Amino acid sequence: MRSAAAVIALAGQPNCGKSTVFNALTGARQHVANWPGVTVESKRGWYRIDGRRIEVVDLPGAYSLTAQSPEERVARDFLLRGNIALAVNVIDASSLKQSLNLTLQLREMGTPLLINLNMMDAAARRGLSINTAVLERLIGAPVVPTSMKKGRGVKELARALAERLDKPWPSATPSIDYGPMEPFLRAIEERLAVEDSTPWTLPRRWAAVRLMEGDAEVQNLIQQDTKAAGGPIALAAESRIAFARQTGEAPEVHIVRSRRCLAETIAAACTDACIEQQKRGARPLSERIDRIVCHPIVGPLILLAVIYLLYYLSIVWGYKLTEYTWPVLAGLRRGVASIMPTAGFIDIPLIRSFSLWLVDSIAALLNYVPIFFILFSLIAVLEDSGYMPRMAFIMDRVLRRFGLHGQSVLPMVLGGVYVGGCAVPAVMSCKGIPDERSRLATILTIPLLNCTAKLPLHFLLINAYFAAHKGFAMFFISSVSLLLVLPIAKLLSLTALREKETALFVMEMPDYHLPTIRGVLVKALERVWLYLKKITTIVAAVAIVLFVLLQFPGLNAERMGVYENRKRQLIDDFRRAVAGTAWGRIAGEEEIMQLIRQWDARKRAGAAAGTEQATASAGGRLKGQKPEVPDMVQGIVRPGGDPEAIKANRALRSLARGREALLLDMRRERLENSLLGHLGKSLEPVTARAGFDWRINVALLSALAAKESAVATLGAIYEPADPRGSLEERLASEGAGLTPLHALALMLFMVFYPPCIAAAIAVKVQTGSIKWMLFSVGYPVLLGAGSAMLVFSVGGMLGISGIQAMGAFYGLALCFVLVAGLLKQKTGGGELFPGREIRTRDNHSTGRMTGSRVKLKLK
Amino acid sequence: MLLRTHPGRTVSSVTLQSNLHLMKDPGDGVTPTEEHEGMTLDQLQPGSICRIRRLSSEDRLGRRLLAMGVCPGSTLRVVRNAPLRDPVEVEIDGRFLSLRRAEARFIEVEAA
Repeated sequence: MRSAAAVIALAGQPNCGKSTVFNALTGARQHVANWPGVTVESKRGWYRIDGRRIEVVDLPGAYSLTAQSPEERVARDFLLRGNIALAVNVIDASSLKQSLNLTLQLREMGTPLLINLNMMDAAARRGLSINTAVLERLIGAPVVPTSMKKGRGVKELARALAERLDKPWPSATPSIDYGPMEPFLRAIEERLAVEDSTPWTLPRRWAAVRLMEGDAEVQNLIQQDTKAAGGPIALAAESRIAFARQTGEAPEVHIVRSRRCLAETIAAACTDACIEQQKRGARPLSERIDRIVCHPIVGPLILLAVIYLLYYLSIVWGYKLTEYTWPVLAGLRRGVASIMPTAGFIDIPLIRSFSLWLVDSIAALLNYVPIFFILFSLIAVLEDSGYMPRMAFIMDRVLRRFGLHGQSVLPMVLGGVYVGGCAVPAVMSCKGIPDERSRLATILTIPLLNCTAKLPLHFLLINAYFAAHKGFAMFFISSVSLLLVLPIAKLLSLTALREKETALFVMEMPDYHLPTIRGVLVKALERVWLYLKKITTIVAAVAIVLFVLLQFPGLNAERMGVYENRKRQLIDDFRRAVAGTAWGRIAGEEEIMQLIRQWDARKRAGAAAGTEQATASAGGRLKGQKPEVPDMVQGIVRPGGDPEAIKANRALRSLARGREALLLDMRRERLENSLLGHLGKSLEPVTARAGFDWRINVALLSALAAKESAVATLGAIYEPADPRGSLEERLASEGAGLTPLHALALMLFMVFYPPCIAAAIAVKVQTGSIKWMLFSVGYPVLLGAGSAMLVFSVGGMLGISGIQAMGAFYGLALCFVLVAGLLKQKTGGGELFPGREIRTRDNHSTGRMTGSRVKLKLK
Repeated sequence: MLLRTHPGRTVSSVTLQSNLHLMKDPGDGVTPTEEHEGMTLDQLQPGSICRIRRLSSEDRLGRRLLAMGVCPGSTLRVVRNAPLRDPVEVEIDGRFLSLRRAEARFIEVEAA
């Protein structure tokens, strides 16, 4: 065991097939996290060869090691300080010349290097043949050719890596010849050597080149690493000016040019020259596809179709799939229920209600797993096929106007642009947006879209208050959220996100690839797993807090006495009713409880199985499962033709119903009395402006964990005068005291309702910050309260009806969209010189006018 | 001395200094475009082929292209405009890139 776990790093440019290589090497033995401090994904894994463990770190794709983007910074830092035994440079063999840009930089860094020439099959298809022996000699590192997509060369690569770790490659480093810059570089190197008082970690030549380039990060590193800072840095500054005077070329441009020259020489030497010419006509297929996919008219239509398909498959089908997975979760709940102490007639043990609450909260999240799986698979297909950048290409112009990004399309669709989506996967899919400002703007506004959990309340209120204008009300609620998201995103990027880093929109349009099943599945499973791991613990914690808020302080002794009396009354009624029958013997409370439980179980089985026939068989199953249950229990639950049994059955039914009503009353009173109830009441003075009384407040507060709860809580609060009446009827009846204007205010508040726990956690995961998570919860509440108050107060003042107010609000939202779309925002560029930017903009507009004059069309 | 322009992005005074003398002082109102009476990338029509005349490390797109190994003299082809005319797709060095016009206007080009 020479080295227990040697660490190797995979480096490569974007789209070089690095992930495929990583997956092929490590298989399932990998884990994903974020690099500290940034939202760049870090993937680590390991494999074993000849009993030796090799750790593999997949660095983010980077064109270069100049540390301009977070990805490059992460990759460079790790190569410099990660203490790696070997760097593996994955190269797309079909674009060798461009890829060598990175390779030569790696070489300069002095890290032990191995070249993996990947996608040899794609290169061969383009008529390119690469002489690996020549490349090996010219680069000074071993070269392993592979075609990972086809699984060719995996074993060879794994073995070559292990061998390379053992025996050092004869390091005849072909350093790049920087021509007239060499004297300057040597001087800086010497100065660096003189300053070398601390253990030197940076390769000197590499550092000298970076200093000549004016690399601020390397200057920082040197200032950290050496005591006397001035020397080499000051010298480099002078040299930069002197070099530019001497040659008339900026040093950084000269460095790139020298590197490029060498890359061209190497690529030409090892690629067949006559075939090289065929490359001119490369990418015929991708080009042909793009002619349709990016077509001015057909392109957007295809985009719409893809979006619709994605939405349909993941959200609609996903929800259908949950119908099959939900019983599993329900089984889990039943399992927990069965091991908990059983419920008494009115006193339900705290541990029981608490465990079930916790299980329910977590099950509500696990329920999303099928949706996520489909969704993440489809996103992986989009990513791997290369369509994603085309989506951004088509939509960027529209979305940019609102502070968003071309790549915000996908998250917005998933979040529910029209009817029904889910904020959790939507927020998770924001990962790919490279521009931090628009990524945050997307993440923060997505929860305002129409998540499916908001719909029950909307439907309820529309049916109760806008039944006459159902069509318009439905249209209003489906589209108003998008109208609000756009201006709010713009507003955020002008205010709270103003200081955030914006990235350039330089997006490679890669060749189209056929995604592999394995690649897609690995990606999807990985993301689902990450979600589960992060989410369950935090959800459990929040669920506990909410439980306490909902349960305590509970009912006092006096009120409990009242309920005890009602309970005794019910039991006495039952006893009287069955007196004289065979069931008259059942007297003890525990026996009666057993009957009730049996009754409930049968009801549940019936509800689950649906049909009458199924009820019978479910009853049979129950009988089969519990042979110890006395026959008389079966008799009363399933009376058959026996008149006595029928009588007892009726008595039991009214007892069970009476108990349910009693429990509901207790629950309502406990809710009123709870901390949350008090909070709802104390908020009433404020929320009254929006037309919300304390009951609505409680319903809204209880929806914090999951919005579905709002309807359930409303149902519990608005007591059923006639139990058969629907909640709609109860709300619309005079007693509720609500008008359509109230309902509109409530609906608007629901539109702005803060993200549920799961979505908030997703925000935390994607932004990497609790601060943004709290912000994403906080600002919608303010906006929601504001809009609700606006509609209710102004609407009330003007005396307009609910439907008129709805129309007015819609118009207002449209105006906001227009205004926000017209507002200009500086997107960056040459922000070092604001003066220059403004002037160039003027110049730009004249340039556009004369655009036709300077047409350069040579074809 | 380091100038902090943005969180996470530092630009050294060295870069500034050296480039100030390379290109005229940007404060005096002379833009590179006017200075050379040249064209900029954002003005080209799809199908045009041209050569990159100058890339400045002052400008973010210039820096980015340099990092990708593109340097002045590279040939560039405008492939297509997006359906709404912006962004624009170009081919440089066998790579297909999509750029926003507002950013492309800092790239000077000349006839190939």
